[in-house]
Amino acid sequence: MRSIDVESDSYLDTRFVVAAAVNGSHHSIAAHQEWLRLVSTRRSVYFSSFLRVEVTQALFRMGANPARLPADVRARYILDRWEHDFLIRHRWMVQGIEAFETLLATFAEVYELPVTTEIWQHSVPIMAHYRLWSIDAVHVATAQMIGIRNFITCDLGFGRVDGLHVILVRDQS
Amino acid sequence: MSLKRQQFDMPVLDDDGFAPPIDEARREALRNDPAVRYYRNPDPASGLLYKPTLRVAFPVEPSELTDDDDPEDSHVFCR
Repeated sequence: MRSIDVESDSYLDTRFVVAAAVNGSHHSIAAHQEWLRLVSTRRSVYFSSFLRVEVTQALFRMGANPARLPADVRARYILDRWEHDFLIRHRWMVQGIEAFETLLATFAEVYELPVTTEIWQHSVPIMAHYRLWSIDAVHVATAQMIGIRNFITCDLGFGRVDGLHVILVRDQS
Repeated sequence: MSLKRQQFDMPVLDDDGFAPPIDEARREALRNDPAVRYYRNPDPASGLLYKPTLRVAFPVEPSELTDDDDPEDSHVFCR
């Protein structure tokens, strides 16, 4: 018998995934709490395969701009040497990706969805209507085309999308 | 050669642009769609456990980078 809560399938946005994987990053406390909820209630989660590309980009930007991270994290990973040391960059990226994949392995059920031409086409009017970046519009289009309204994100911009049940995960500033 | 169009690509959308709420039939279609990667955890018997795709050995030991700080001991990433 399935014990997965099929009534609350949720789509994961990149910023939530990064925040949940990297302690000390923006909104990581709230993201950790939401991650605990998703795992403990055995929610099924969905994401676009493009999220993988975005995760690596986010990790890279985080490492290149260590001001975004707490001082102890910057010191532990020696991120002040980011510009000059391949090994520093490589270690940060590899461990970040491993954390991301560890996160994926905690969810009861994971659907990784492809970016198709149809989704891309569907994303264009979403961009125009809601003034979203192309990648964000692809996430919305993917969720829409599989009939998922629960959308977990740290980004306020998705609140403009009609019919999307945005679960906003943000630390209090 | 026939090209089977995936159900994934053919939803009927409502006025807000959404396909009908996902149901078990749709999930089953997704699980059977070769373009969709599906994982189920923690259920080793299913054979569908998520398998990390990246296993890159770090080229040097962390101790070669720093005398004191060992990121392997940290909890920055993995929870």
